[in-house]
Amino acid sequence: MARTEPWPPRPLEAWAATLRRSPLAVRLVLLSVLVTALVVGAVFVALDLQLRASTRRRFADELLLSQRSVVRVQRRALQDLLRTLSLVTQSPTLHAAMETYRVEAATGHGTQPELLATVQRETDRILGELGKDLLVVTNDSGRVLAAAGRDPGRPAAGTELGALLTIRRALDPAAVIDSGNYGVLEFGGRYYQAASVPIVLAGFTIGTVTLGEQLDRTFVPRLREAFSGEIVVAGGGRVVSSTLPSAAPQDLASALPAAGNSANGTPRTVRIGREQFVAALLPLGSDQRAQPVTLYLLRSLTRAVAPLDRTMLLDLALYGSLGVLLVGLGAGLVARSALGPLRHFVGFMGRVAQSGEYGARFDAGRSSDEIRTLNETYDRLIASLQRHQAELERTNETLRAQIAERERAEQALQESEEQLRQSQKLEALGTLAGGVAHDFNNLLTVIISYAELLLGQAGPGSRMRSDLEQVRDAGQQAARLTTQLLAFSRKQVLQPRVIDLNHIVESMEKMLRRLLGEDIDLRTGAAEALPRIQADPGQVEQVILNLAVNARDAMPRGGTLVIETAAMSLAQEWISRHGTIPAGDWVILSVSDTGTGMDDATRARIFEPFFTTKEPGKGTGLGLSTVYGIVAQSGGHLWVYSELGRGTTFKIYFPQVHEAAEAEPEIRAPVRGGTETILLVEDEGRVRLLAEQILRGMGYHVLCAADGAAALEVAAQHRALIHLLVTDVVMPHRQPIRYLLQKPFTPDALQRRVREVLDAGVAAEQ
Amino acid sequence: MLCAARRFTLLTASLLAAAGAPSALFHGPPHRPQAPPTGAIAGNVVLSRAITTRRPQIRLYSDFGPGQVPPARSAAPNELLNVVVYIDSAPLPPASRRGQPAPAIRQQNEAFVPHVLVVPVGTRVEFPNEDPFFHNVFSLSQSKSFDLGRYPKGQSKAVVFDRPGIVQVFCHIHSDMSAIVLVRPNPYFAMPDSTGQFRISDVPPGTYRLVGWHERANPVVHEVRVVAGQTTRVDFNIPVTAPPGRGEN
Repeated sequence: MARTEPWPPRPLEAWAATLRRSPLAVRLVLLSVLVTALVVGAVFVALDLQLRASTRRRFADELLLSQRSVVRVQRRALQDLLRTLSLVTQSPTLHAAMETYRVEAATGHGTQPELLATVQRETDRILGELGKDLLVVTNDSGRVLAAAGRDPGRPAAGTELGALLTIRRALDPAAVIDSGNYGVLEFGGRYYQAASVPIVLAGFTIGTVTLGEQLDRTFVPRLREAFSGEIVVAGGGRVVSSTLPSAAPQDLASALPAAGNSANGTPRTVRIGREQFVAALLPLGSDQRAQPVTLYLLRSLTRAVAPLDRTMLLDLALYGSLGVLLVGLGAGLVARSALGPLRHFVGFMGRVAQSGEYGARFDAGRSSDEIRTLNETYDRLIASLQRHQAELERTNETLRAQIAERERAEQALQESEEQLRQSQKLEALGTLAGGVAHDFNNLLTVIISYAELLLGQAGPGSRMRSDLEQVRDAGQQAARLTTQLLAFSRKQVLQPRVIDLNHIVESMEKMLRRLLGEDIDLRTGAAEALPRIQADPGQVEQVILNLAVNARDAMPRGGTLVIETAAMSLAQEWISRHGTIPAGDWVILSVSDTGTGMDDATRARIFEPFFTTKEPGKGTGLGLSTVYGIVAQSGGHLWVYSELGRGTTFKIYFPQVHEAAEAEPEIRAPVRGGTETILLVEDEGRVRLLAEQILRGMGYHVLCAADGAAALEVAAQHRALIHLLVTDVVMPHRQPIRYLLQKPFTPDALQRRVREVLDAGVAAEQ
Repeated sequence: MLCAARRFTLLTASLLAAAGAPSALFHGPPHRPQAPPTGAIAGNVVLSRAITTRRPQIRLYSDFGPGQVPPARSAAPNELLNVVVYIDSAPLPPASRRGQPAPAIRQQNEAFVPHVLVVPVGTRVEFPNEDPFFHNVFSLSQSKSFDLGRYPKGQSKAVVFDRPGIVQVFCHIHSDMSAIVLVRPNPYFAMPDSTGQFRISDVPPGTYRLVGWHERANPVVHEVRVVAGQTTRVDFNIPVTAPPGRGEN
């Protein structure tokens, strides 16, 4: 049947695996135990072999001696037999009976039955007295006359035994009686060692007598007295006699070496059953059927060695255990002395690994060479590790910086692209709106101006007057729209001054509270010692107002509006990380509400003119556009942060200036005319005409030109002093703009502004 | 052994001495005045095979190996003296030997002397003991069994052999002693001398069976015609029976 499970079974492998995982000390001890056990085993085997060999040699020697002594015993037995026989042959009864019988038989007249009976009786008597096993008497031809013996297999009277070697020799008158008369005879399955001698009467052989000892019954026991081993006699291919207790005779016969040529050779080792014997063989001769009869002397090697083996094994086991103990102890000590420092070292390394103090060093001063080498290697390893770590750190740092740089650059690029796109969009819108507003302004200026002129002519309370007022008001409303558009397109004329932003916020606070209503809590925060800014204060107010209105609309259910001012210096580094605001010193106006907030899509478009999230008719969509334009025109920046549902924060960055705030000019004064020469440059003909009329009406000498080139020409032809240049601001000019008048201007505004400038110029000259 | 050899020498000498006596005794011509004329038978006896007697030699101390054969002794000088030539089955009157001295078989040097004694039936044979120790003469033979018992030197006991036949005589004390008394129904017998010559005288003419006898041989029978006044020559060649196993070669 095929074995399905692996062999050796799993537990052994598991055991081996466990062993592999077990600590060195355990393995050392186990190894030492194993080695000692192996050594003990090997020594035992070697000693056992040696013991066996020496025992075999000793037994062989002993057996050779025993062989010789057996030969002696045998010879003595022979002598004994022959002596006994020589006495037997002297029996007168035998002589008389046999000879008488012979002669009677020879004469042929019949024999007396008493004769043979006498022979038989004599034979029985002699055998009884000798105590031997067989006595056979034959006549001179070898025919048995009488036989006596214990065994019923003895030859019967009348048996012809003349062919037996011993009897033939006995009958031979020429032969001496010696070992030739000695032999092994087999009768009825019994083996006898026997001797035959002639019965001689008056010099004539009248018969023979054969005396035998049964091998198994007499001979072997006698040998046993002199020989301590086992004795086996084999004859005719079977065991005749054996002192071995156990083995079956047939097995024994096949196990024993055959008596061949090396009959008296050296003893050899044979195995019978489970025992090992040293055997020496001694041929006893051949029986009458020419089959060899052999005597085996056996000494049990197994029985001889076993007790010695036991003793030896006990001793070896004792010394082996002692050895195992000592070696194990030694191995333990070695392991301890070797592993102790190693364990310290491992502990040290563990501590280093835990604490991360790679700078720590292990004190291997008194340790063995191996530990010192290990420590040195460890130090080198750590040093190398640290070098590599530092290098890695540097590389990481560089890489991180590069990545951050790239991210920043990408972000900045993205943002600037976005901003650019936004700016371009707003720029385009602004240009469009600016162009439209400009043209509208010119038209509105004409409309409003003429309406004012006609109002001056219309009588008070007349129907015409109220109509004209309606025209003028509508024109003025439209003018406000175009003003806002111009503000967005940064085409409006600004009158920047150095101002205190806190002051402006403060002045607007009351108005703003009114505007925002009671649901909205306005909080203002003014930074102390806030630097000044240069801006048009009206426009700044406009910015704040627009943002406040925007915030109010974002908080329909009320909320908090915070207006704060702050000063801030933006370093280049911060700027590069956080935003699009250029580096520099800024004054920040922050307007935060807690309103609805905006999504990104909305936030992207809030500065577009006419973009509004309010209901139609509620907003112009120009508020934040205006803010954008004003801030941009003032050299500032806008930053919006908004979260849906949380609110929106606008931050406006104005560049700081370090000048004292300028006083607000006196606005309201009676307008008076003059005689100064004024060069009026205006490309819009109607506006130029209007302005000319207004200024001439005030008494001024007015020179007109349509554009810059014409103006230069006019100025050159005039040759007299031109006190004032009044020009459309969008015209190319080289002089810095000192005084500005917002279109669409009113006649009064124009008159007042011209007078101011002229007076200012006089004052400056003085 | 030494002792045995010496004894053997003595024995031989006594046999020789004994051989002479009977021949001298019986070769003399019978003196019977009214007896019819008779013839005689004479001849020579040869034993065709050298009979060797033996004395067993035992070599107890020899090693295992071939035994040494002792030198053979020829039996001729004395065995011829143990030969008897007699006329068998002769229709003859029983012999009357009265007046003749009784023959004797002496026990001398532990031997019976003579070894072979031939007597006509009815003869009284003396067995005197001449040895200085006891002998016990007895016989188990069919024709005459007896036991004379033990008797010392100087004494003699006699046995009358009243039936023809072969009577073997032994000593119950000395097993090697044996003698044969050949009891013949007629007086026509003779024993050859040491050279083998024998002579039977006073034989009535007629045709007879003449037997040459030796204890170790089958009897040799010759037809013989005896003519009055003549001596018929008969030579015997008696082949001694060899023991079986040694063949006839």
